[in-house]
Amino acid sequence: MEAQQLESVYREAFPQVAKLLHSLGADLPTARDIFHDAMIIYLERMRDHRLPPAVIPTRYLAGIARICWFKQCKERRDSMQVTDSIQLSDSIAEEPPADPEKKYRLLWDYVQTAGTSCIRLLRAFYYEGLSMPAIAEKFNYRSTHSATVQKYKCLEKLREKLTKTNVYEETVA
Amino acid sequence: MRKQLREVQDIDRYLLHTMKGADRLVFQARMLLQPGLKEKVGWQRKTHAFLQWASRKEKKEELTSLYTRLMNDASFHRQITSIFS
Repeated sequence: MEAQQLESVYREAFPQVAKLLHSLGADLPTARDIFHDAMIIYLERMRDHRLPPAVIPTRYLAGIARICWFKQCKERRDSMQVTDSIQLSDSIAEEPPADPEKKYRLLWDYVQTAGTSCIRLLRAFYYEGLSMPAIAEKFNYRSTHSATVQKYKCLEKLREKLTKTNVYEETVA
Repeated sequence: MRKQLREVQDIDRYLLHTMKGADRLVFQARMLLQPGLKEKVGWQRKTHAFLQWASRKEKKEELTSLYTRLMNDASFHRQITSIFS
């Protein structure tokens, strides 16, 4: 999704989702964080072509946010009662995992050692799902083959770093 | 492409399920015979998971930046804060 389109969806959806979450008892920072989790799920489903046809973004985001809110309530054993009728859909499994900030910083510093250009390249393929010809064009490689070789070099480098430091087991796993 | 890099490529094709049929069976047999290869596959799988985790984190930071920028718009700020007042 282009930045302009993302901003447009954000402007339209956040006020409505915020109203919904406020009515359920959320404060502003909580509503914002839940909305961002919902946006990530929405964007990933869009990337994977898994959104229902003619979906209305605001309504879809509100649905995901509602599920995330109840899940959060359940996890924190909030005082709010969660009725048995609430069905947690498969969206829940895709909610971005929470992570302690300290461990995140440790990992992030570690990722930087692989080089930001490497991370951008790997992210484009493994997260954004761009094709290698599209990546070659986006990052100005001479050919798709050059971009592919570079992708595997970067992946190998990152894998070796993870293996050597064993940081993964302590943090992400 | 050098040999080690071809192995990274093979592992990726295996993990992303673009390696099919006989090639996949041969690769699975190699993993049984070579514990080192099986270990590399495990680490590469974790590398994929880590990339997903880090990418989501970055995406969330982008959204937080967008939120901050939009909240500098007086009209949007008023619209949001009035909900919580």
